[in-house]
Amino acid sequence: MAKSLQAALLWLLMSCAACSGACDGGAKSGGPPPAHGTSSPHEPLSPSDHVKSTMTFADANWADTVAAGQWAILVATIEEVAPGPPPEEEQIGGTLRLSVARDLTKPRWEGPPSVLVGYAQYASEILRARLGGQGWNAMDLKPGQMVLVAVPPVPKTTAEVVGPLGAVSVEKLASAADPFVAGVEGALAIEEEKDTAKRVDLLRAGAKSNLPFLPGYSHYAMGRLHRIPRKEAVALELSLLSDAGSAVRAQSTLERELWLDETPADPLNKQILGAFFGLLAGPDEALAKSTLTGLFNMLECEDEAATDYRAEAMKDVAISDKSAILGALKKLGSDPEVGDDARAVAGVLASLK
Amino acid sequence: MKRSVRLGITNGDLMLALTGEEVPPGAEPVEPREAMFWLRVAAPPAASSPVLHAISEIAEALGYPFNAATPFDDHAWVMATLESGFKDRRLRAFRLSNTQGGGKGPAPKPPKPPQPQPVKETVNPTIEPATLVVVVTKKAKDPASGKTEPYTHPKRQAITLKTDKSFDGTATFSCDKPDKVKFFTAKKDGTEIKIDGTANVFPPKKGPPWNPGASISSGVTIYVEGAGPSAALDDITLKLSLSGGSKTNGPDDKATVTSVEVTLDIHKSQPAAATAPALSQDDKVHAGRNLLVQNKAKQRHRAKLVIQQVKPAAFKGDLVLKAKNGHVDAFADEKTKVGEASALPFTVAADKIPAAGQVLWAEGASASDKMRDTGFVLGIKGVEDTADLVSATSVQLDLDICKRRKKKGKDPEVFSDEDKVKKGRYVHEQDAAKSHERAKLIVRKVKPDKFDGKIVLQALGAKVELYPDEDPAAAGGVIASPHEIDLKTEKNEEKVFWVQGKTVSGALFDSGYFLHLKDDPVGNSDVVMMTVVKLEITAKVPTTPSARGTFAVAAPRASHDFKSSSNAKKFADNAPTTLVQSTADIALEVKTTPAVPMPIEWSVEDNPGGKKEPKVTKKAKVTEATLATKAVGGFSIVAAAGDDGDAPVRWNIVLVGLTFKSSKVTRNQTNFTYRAGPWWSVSSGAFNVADPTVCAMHTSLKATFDAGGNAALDTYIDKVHAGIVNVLESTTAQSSYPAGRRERERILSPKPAANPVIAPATPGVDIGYPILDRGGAAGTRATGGSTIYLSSTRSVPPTGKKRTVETCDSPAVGFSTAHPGGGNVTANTGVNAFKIYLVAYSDDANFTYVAFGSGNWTADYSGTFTYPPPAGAAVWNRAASCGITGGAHLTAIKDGKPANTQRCEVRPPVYLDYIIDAR
Repeated sequence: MAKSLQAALLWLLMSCAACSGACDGGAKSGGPPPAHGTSSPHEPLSPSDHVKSTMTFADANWADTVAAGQWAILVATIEEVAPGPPPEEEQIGGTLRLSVARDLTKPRWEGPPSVLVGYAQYASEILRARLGGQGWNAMDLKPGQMVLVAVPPVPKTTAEVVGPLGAVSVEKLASAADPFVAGVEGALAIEEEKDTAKRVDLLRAGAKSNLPFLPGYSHYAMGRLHRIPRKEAVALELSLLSDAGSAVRAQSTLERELWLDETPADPLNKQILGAFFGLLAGPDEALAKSTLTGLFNMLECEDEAATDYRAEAMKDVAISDKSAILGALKKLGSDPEVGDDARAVAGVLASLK
Repeated sequence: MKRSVRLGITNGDLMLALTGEEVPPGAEPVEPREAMFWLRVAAPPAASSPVLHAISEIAEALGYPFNAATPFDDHAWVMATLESGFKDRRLRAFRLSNTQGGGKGPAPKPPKPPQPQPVKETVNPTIEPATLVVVVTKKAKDPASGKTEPYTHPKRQAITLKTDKSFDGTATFSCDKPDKVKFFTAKKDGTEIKIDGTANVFPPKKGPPWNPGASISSGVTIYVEGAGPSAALDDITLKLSLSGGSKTNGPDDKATVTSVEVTLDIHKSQPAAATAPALSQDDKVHAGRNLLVQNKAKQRHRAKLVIQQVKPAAFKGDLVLKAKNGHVDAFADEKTKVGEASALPFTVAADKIPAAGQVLWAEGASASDKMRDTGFVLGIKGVEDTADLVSATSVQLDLDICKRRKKKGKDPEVFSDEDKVKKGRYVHEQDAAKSHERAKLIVRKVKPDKFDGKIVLQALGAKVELYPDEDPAAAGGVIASPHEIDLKTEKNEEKVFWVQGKTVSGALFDSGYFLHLKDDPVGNSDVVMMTVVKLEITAKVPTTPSARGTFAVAAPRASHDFKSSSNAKKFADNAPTTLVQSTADIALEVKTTPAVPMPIEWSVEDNPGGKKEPKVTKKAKVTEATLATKAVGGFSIVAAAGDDGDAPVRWNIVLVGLTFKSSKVTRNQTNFTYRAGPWWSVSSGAFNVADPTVCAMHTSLKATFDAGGNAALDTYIDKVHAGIVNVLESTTAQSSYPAGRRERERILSPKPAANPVIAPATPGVDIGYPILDRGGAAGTRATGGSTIYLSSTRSVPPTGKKRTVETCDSPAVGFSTAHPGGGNVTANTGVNAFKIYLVAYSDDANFTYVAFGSGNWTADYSGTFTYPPPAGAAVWNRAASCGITGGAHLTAIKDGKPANTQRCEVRPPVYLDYIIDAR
C-alpha cells in the first residue's frame, strides 16, 4: 500500500467513523448523506471494514445525486489505484487516490485536493462489458483518468488527504471540458436558482440543451421535483411538446408528474388532454403510442365504470381535428401493444358530443 | 266382646256362656228362669262397672248393638237381650260354687223375696274410659325467648269422672304417676289440675276450685296430657274415690293410662352424613337443619333422619313419618339410586324399630319460602299426627360460571348446570400485561330470600384467584379463599366475582370453585370446574419458495414464525403482524399447557375489521389450523380452549392489500448502444429511473395500499412495500462466429468455474425458467425484502397509502469478439424474454411475496458485425428486429396471489449467474 494511502487510513481512524453502506443507500433513496465525522449508530468499523464499506459501484443516477443537494460533486483525476480485498462476492475493489480539480458544488468541498475514494467493480469482464453502463464498472481505472465523482462533503481539515470516502455517483470524463460536466453544472444551476421566472428560463434552456444529462434533469425538476409551480411547469412542458428533441420527455413528464388524477376538472388537466389528443395524430408514432397509453391511464379507461370521471375530465377539452385523431386511433387499434388502449380512447372520444 | 263372663255374687259365681262355649269343670247349669233371677241379682241397674261391662260384653256377643251407648244407658235392653238368650238357648248360665268357699256346694236356693226395710243406697264412682293412651308433649328451648316450651301439642285425652247416683260426699281424683301425665280443665289451654289434694278434690255438693259449679254426680270431664313416657303399658293409674255422704259409697273406680313418647332426630352434615351427630332437641326445632335442594345430577348430600324407638317399648302401634310440606323429601338410602322413590309417607310398626332407630335420608326438594318452613313430622297412626318433628330449611345454593363475554356490554352466557361441571370453564394464566380475561362467577341469591346462614365460596386448589372486578387492570385486589358470606349481615342478593388464572393447571379441571353452607363439608357444594391454561399461538408464514422449483437457493427459513400468548386486542399492547393480502396460507398451531387434549376453537375477530375476512380452517388435529389471508384490514386470529371460546389468545394481524392503476410500461427503441472491445456488448439503454426516456423498459404505476379503511390501521401500511420484480422467461441470445461456432448465455447448475466455458467436458444442466433478474452486488440479491426487485425500482413516496412505483431496466448482451475456438463475431441473434411483476412484501415477513400484477416484455439485440477495412474494430449493425416489445400495461392479479404461484421467481440463482457457453 502506498504511503499516502496509509496516511489516509490513519486520518480515517482519527476523524472519520461514518459513511458506511448507508451512504450508498442514502444516495439511492434520494436522502441526504450522513454527516461527515459523526459516529455511526452501528458497531464501530474495523479499518478494513470501513474500507470495504466505501467500495461501491457508485452507480446512483446523477439526477438523484444532484437533486439531493448534499453531495460534493468533484471533477478529479485518478492519481493512484490501490486494489484491495474484494468488497463482495464476484467483485473487485480497492481505493483510488483522486486529485480534485474542481468542486461543482462549491463550497461543499472544503477538504484537501487529495482524496481517497473506494471503488468496486464486477470481477467478471463479461459482466463489466455487459452491465458496465454506469459507475466504476463503466471505466478502466488507471491513473490519469478524469472522473466526475459525487462524495460526501468534507469540512476543513489540515490533513493532506482525506478518505477513503464512498462515492455515490461517478462518470468517466474525457477531459475537464467534458460536456457531461457542463450538463451537471446546468442541473446544479437550476437547483441553485430560486427565482421562478429565471428557473423557468433555465429549465426551458436545459430541456432543449444538447448537453448530456441536463435535458432529462430539466424535465425531472419540472415534474417530480416540483422546482417550479405546476402551472408554469405545465405551460413549459406543453410548449416543449412541439420541440422534437424534447417532446418525448415533455409528454412523459406531463403524463406522469403534472397530471392530477384526483381532479379531473382541473383546467391544467384539460390543457394536457387537449395537447395529448393532438399528439395522437402527429408524425411521431412512438410518441403517439406513448401518449395513447398515457391517455388510457389518465382517462381511467381500465375502469369501465368511471364514465362520470371521464365525462368530467373531457368536458370542455379543446380537441382539434377530431376525425384525424379518430383515424389515427383506428390505425393504432391494430397495434398488438396498444391496440386495446386505442380502442378504449377512441370510444371516449367518440362519445363526446 | 266376650263369649263367657263371670259375675261375682255373694253365693258363688254366676257364669254366663254362649251355648257351645267350654265351661270349667264342676260348673253347674242353671235353668233359664233361675238364671234370669240370679242375673238380676248380680247385675242390678246400679251394678258396679265391671259387672255392667261383663253383661254388656256377653250381650254384645249375642248381637246386641251398643252404638256407643254405655251399659248404664242400655241396662234394661241388655237384660232383655240376655233373657231372650236364655229362652232360645243361645245363652246358658252356670254356677261355680266351688270357686268360692272351697268346693262345690249345693246350688243356692232362690232367696226369699226381700223384706221391705229401709235400705241405704250405694253410690259408685266411675272413670271413663277405663284405659287410654296419651302422647308426650315435646319441649325445646327457644333461643329467641330463652324459654323451654312445647313444640308439639298432642291431643289431650278426655276422661269423665262421675258417680252413678247423686253423691253428696267428697270425691277425690288421683294419679299414681303425676310426673308422667298432666290434667287440664280443657281440651286446649285451660288450667292444669294438680294432684295436690285441693284441685283434685270435689268437696260435698261443690265443684273443685277450678270449676266450683261442677258436680261429680253430673260428671266432670278433665283432660289428660302426656308429660313423660310410660315405662310400661298402662303403668299409670287414675283413681276416683268417694268418701262421706249420705249413701253407701261404692268402691274406687280406676283407669289406666299409657303415656307414649316418640322421637325423631336429624343429624348434622359433618364430618360425614352417616356419622355426624344429631342436632340437639333445641336445635332440631329452633335452628333446624339446612338441606340443600337436590340437583339434577343428584349430587347434594342427604341428611340422616332417625325415628328412635318408642317409649314404652311395648307400645304397639304404627308410626308415620311425613314431610311437613313439599320442600323436603326422604329416601331409604343415603346415596341416590336410579329409579328410587320417595320413602314418604313412611310407616313403621313401633315394635319393629331397631335399637339404633329407623334411619331415613332427607334432602331438599324445592327451595323453602322462608327459614325453617319445612321439616319432618312423626306421628302415631290413629293417635297423634304430630308426636315429634324436626325443622328444616330447604336451601337453594347456585354457583354459576359464565362463558366469555361475546360482545362488549352484553352479559356473558351462563354455563348450564351440567356443562359447568362436565365441560368446565377454561381461564388463561394471567400475564404481566394483564391481557387475559377473567371469568364471571355468580353466587346466585340464596333461596329462601330470608336465608340467614353463612355460605362459603372456596377455591379448588390455588391456581385460580377471585377478584371483584372484570378488568384485570382494575384496582380491586384479590379476594382470599375461602370467602365467607354471612347472610345475616350481608344482603342476600346475587353476588358477582371474577376468576383469574394464576398458575397453569397440572391437569384438566384441577381448579374451580365450591359454594357450600358453612355447616356443610366442601363436598356438599354447588361446583364449577375450571382449568387454568396457557395457550401460545405459533403462526408460520411461509416464505415464498422458488417458482421454478429446481436448482433454487432456498430461503434462509421456511417460514416467518410469530408467537402470541397475549389476549390483548389493542395493537399497542399486542403488536400486530403486518402481512400482505393473499399471503400464502399460514399454518397455525396452538401449544397448550397443560399438554393434554382439550377442545380448541379457532376463530377470526374483526380488530377492527376491514374488507372481507381472513378464513381459518381447522385441521383434524384441533390444535392446528390454516389461515387464508384473502382480505384486508385488522383482525385477531383467536385460539381458545373449550367449546365456547374460553381463555382466548390472539395473534393480531393487519392485512394490507394493493391495487394499482395507470400502469404504463414504456418501451424505448432508441437507446441501444454498442461497445466494442474484447468483449462486445449491446445495451438497450441506461438505468435512470428518473428519466423514462433513457431506459429500455420503464414501468410506472400508481399503487393504492389499503388496510381496510380504518384510519388507525394506516400506519401499518408503511410496513408494506411494493416494487417490480423482473424474471427471465427465456433467453435465446447468442453470438455467431465462422464455422458454425457460437456463444450463448446459459444458467447452469453447477455453475462452471470457467467463463466462458470452452471445455466440452464441463458438465452443466440448465436450471430452467423462470429466473430472477436482479443486479447489484452478489450479497444483495434476494436476501429478503426489496432485494428481489430490479435495482432501480423505487417507490415515491416510499410509504403511505398512495405511491408511485416505478422501475427502469436496460438489459444488455455481451459476448467475445473473437471466439476462443477462432474467428470473429459475425452476428448476434435472439431475445431475452422477461416478465415483470408488481410484488409486495411486509417488513414483518420479508421473504414472503405476493404478486399483484404482471406484464411481459422482450429485448431483442439482433445485429450483424462488419469490420471496416483495412483492420478496423468490429462494428455492430442493428437489425430491424432489434428492439423492446411488450404490453403497454400491467395486468392486475386481483387481490394478489403468492408470487411463486404466478411464476414469479424470487429465489436465486439470478440471471447474472449466467455463463457464456462457447462450446
